[in-house]
Amino acid sequence: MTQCNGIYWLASYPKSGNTWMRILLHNMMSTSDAPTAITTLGGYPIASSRTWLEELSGIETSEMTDDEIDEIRPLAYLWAGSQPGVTYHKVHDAFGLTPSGTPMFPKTGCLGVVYIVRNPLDIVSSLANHLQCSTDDAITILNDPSQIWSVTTDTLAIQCRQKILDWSGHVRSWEESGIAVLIVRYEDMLRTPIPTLSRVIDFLGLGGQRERLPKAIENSRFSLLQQQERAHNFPEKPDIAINFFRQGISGAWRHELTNIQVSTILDRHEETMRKLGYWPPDAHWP
Amino acid sequence: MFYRAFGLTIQTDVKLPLPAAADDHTADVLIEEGIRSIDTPGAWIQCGATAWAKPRLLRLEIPGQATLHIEAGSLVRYQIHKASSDGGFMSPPVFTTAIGALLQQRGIALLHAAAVRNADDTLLLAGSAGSGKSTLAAALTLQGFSHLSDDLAAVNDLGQIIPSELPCALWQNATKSLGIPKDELIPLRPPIQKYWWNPRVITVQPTRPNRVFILSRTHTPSPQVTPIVGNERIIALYENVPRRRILHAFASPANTFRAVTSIAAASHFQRLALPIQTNSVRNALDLLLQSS
Repeated sequence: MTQCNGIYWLASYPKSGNTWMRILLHNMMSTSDAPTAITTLGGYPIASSRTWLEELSGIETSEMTDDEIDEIRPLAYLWAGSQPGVTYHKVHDAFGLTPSGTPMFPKTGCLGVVYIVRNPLDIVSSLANHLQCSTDDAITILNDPSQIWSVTTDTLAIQCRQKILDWSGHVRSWEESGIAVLIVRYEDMLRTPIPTLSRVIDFLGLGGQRERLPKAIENSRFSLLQQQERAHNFPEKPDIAINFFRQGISGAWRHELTNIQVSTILDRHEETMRKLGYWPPDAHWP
Repeated sequence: MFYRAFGLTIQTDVKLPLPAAADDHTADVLIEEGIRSIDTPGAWIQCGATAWAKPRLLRLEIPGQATLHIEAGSLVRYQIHKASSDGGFMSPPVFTTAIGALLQQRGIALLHAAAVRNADDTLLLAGSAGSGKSTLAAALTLQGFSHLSDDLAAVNDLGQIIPSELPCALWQNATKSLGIPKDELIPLRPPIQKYWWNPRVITVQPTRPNRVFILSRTHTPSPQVTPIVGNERIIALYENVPRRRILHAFASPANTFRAVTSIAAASHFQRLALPIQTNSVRNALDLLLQSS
């Protein structure tokens, strides 16, 4: 029997294809044959949304510390997961514990996690564009086990603090979360979209809508998303980035990174890359 | 001790994060430390992640800080948690949450909004956290507008904004961009770099807004203004009601809806998208002053 309430987390390290996955799912669930507008993805807020947290809890958080807010988050997700209906939420936090030792993302009320993973060699340039920083700085972020986002002390961050960790730590955190996790490679979404996304929709309990998949893929073409972004600003684009939908390809690292930069990433992440089939790094990817 | 907020006199032995008021008032609200067994009928019904309700009673469990019982719009019972680091003070987020829910129990509509007034021109600036409403309101008060409310706007059943009687709460980056001297700032809750700041002119009479701006942010270099018409005005304003998902459990949503529609019927509505730039307040300010 299909469960009728709960949360599916769409988890990923930033710039790994999470937004593309959400657009695909929107197009899957759309009753229209027209492509989903990228300006209308707000229905299911990101896990770190402060507004969502306040709505779920009834507590005003703007004068709370990050540690205090962290303690509300698991309660909020527990409550959201108990409400009627199935919801799908993006999350960039690594799986972890609150300062008091509670899992940030409770098992109860969680129907599963689709973890979208991307070759870290390709993430780097996308991350550099996203944060408008140098490639070397993006590599430093990717390799930083204590990386935290949305931390401000002199202004209000719209999102709650997110512990991102380094790329391998992020992957490992969700793999070891104890929640049912489906790992999906971004590169497989590009290379073999139908079988890859069929696995995703089966995992999400949407297998009954499989006939919509080809149209959803067609309506989620990267060129179409870029075209939409040129016409209308994408609300989730960071303030400083020039565009959100940059290339949407794999393997660009070969001409974007220097040998030293590649080595810096491989030295840190070889084990995880091997485990996920990203080894040897110069193997052919479409 | 007596305090004043949103037209109410609060009597309490609990230290509140507010300037004390003269004690020549009759109390409208009592805040008591300690949760006692309360003999109210009915079982607790969970209505939010940290909220439970009975008729005329709301219980909020704020993890690591406090438990609140907010009763019939006139009584707040408050139990501080051992882990709280606020040294016996009711912390600003706990106070804001408590007074907000209490106002809603009293049938007062609450909006995430700031409000300022200049003669017959009363502006309501609504928006979610981080949309810039407090900063813009403070900037307008520096231009001669008087202060009505900051962050939370209480609206009575006539669609009038009830003055908060509280100082502005501004983040450090806002105080810098507005050029407010440090000696005018009182730390609100260190280590958070947010400060109380007393505007030079305040309004004490409830006032109907004639212009409503729904604030958002934009990537464009200059502020974008677009009109909101028809029922969209009600929807746009209602989206800024705090606790709207759980309101039905402890207060009357009808009062809130009535206040929102009353404002929508009599005010000029616009969306104001502020650029994420250091000069965005200046640009927006020019725009608001030119169009007033």
